[in-house]
Amino acid sequence: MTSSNMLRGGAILLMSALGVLDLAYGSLYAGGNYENIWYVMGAIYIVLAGVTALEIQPWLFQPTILGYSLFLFSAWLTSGVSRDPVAYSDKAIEIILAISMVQLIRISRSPRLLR
Amino acid sequence: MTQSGIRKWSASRTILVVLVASVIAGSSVGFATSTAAKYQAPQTREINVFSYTLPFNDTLYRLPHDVFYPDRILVYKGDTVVIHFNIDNGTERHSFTIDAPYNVNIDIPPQPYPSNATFVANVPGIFLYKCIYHTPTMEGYMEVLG
Repeated sequence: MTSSNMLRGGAILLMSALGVLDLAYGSLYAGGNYENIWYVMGAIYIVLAGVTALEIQPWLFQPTILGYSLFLFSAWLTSGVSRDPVAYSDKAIEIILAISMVQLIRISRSPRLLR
Repeated sequence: MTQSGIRKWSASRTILVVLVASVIAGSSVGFATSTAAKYQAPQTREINVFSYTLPFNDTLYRLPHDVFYPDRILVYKGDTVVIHFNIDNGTERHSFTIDAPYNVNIDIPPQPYPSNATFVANVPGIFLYKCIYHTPTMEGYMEVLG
């Protein structure tokens, strides 16, 4: 298995975990406050996991996933809402996902592969 | 920018553009959410203030036995505050006074009738309100949350 495939598999797992965690957080923890936002975030992660698994337009979706995870992390960090262990775990996974995507983008766009 | 142009961006350029754009956009949304959650639209708050008499001998204790009810008022900055000052004992002179920056002073002669004062709570902080004839017992605090 190549490092690219390993990273891709890891990213799919992380996005699936984030999707499930966000959906669960929306129904169990958000408590009527912002719960729909957590549902939407979770659903988008699951769709992006599917897109990554199917390798649909990776040149477009890899940066999109990186941007999406950083966008959500920045918004959470500056909004001051949802400060609890579940949200902290969710955001830690999000950072690991962002790092994975950076690595994946670097491998995918290395000059050796761009002919 | 064409599709093939973006596709040929180097990894570092792609990462940098995505990172800057997403952090700026995410922070903007986060700050906007935070501000919206804290924002309280100004409203008119009508507050009834009464005086009542505590059961002790004011001559013996050398303190007035009149007090305000309520002795705490909580409003938000920007609210219009309407104080309805209700006194029905008809025997004592009272006032409802807040010093600067509000400069509210309702002076009520010894006869039973209600009086009103209206002002905008535009300075946040904690402000003493008092009856100038019955300090230090007839006092309370208005808290203006900024």
